[in-house]
Amino acid sequence: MTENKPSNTIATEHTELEGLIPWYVNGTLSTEESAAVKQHIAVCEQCQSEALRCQSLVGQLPAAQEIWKPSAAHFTGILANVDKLEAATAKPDTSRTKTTLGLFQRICACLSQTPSPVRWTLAFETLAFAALALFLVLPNSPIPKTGGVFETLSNAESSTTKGKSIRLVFSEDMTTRELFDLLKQAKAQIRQGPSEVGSYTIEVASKDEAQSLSVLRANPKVRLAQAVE
Amino acid sequence: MAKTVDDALGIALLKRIAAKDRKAFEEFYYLYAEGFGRFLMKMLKQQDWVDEAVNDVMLTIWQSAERYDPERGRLSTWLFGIAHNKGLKILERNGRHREQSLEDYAGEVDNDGDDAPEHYHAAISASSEPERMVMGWELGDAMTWAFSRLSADHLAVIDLCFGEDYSYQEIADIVGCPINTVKTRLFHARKHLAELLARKGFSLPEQGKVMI
Ligand SMILES: [Zn+2]
Repeated sequence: MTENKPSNTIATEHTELEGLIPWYVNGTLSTEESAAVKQHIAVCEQCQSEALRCQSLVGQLPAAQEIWKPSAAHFTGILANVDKLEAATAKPDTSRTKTTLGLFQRICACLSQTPSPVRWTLAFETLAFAALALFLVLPNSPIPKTGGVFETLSNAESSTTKGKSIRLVFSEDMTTRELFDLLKQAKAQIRQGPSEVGSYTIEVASKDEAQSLSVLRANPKVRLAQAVE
Repeated sequence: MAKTVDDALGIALLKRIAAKDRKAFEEFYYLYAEGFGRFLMKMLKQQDWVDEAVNDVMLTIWQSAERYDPERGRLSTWLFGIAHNKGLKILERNGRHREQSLEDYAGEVDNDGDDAPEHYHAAISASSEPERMVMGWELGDAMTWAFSRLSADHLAVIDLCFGEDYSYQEIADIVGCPINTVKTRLFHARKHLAELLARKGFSLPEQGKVMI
């Protein structure tokens, strides 16, 4: 409105800016982005309609049908579950290996389903959860060589990830905790394993491949770390 | 939620929770659970599921309080991320998520570009509607109905953007996908919403003036 831009400049701007309109409307764009969108909207009818539709959406957003409220009863239930958790982590009974492996498996399965740019929120909680479980419950026991412990990880989801696979074989005295630490250092996730011969397939982001391989190979308990196609 | 609550208070509580302080845990619950509970209620639509999801979020907080890093974003973003994850698990376990999402995923793969807003209305008029137009409905009724038909993914981005006022970066952190996917997903979510509204004979008004 304030200036006459050539239409191809407007078209370029349009491609860049139309995707930002919802956040222009909710007011969370940076000052620069916001200024750019504002200026573009003034000369682009299409984006102006977009902005108006977004604005009317804000006003029409239905509230949740029912409202959820915290309650003393609900919190008591949570505390009971906290007690169960604490008891489970403190109990030195024979079922602990099984429980912890199940937990580890679930965590890995969960990580394996994560889209490639790792969700920090998810990674946070699962890593912390794993750290707690593994460090407190299973500090240094060797990993059982039972086949198929991590088999559920090799599901369809892995085909959609864009990472690099690495075959990993480590010495028999590698503990769960050490494995976990190593995978964390190497920014790797377990995809599959252990196989009959005790090898794991792990996955790292493409950009981290070289770094991960050198971290893995530098570990004295790693017998083989090899990129696979 | 935490927009009205000072993060510093939550962070102080998290420190005490990390030291297994149950009083702090309780305070945290009353301070924050309503916020992510509201988000979960829209996502899950059932009280008992929200009870369970909030329980799961709180247990994660109990176990991982020390993992929150203020450098990486607002506390509410971290909490909503955990809540979103727990909510999805409950939907998945109940067979809802996949089923509902299938129809919506079809168009979501492409990255902006082709599917520009001018196709918006073409798509609407082309859609064959199984439902009949309901006479006497207000836009609000149609909106409530349409929201009940959106997939969890679409509902989440619309709610996080227009209901909770999160930035695209924060939404990407919460739902765990790249920024471009958030933008594309929101575009498709709004398109689907517009299609649903059109089935009931409504559209979002475009008249008026951009207020910002
Ligand atoms: Zn434009």
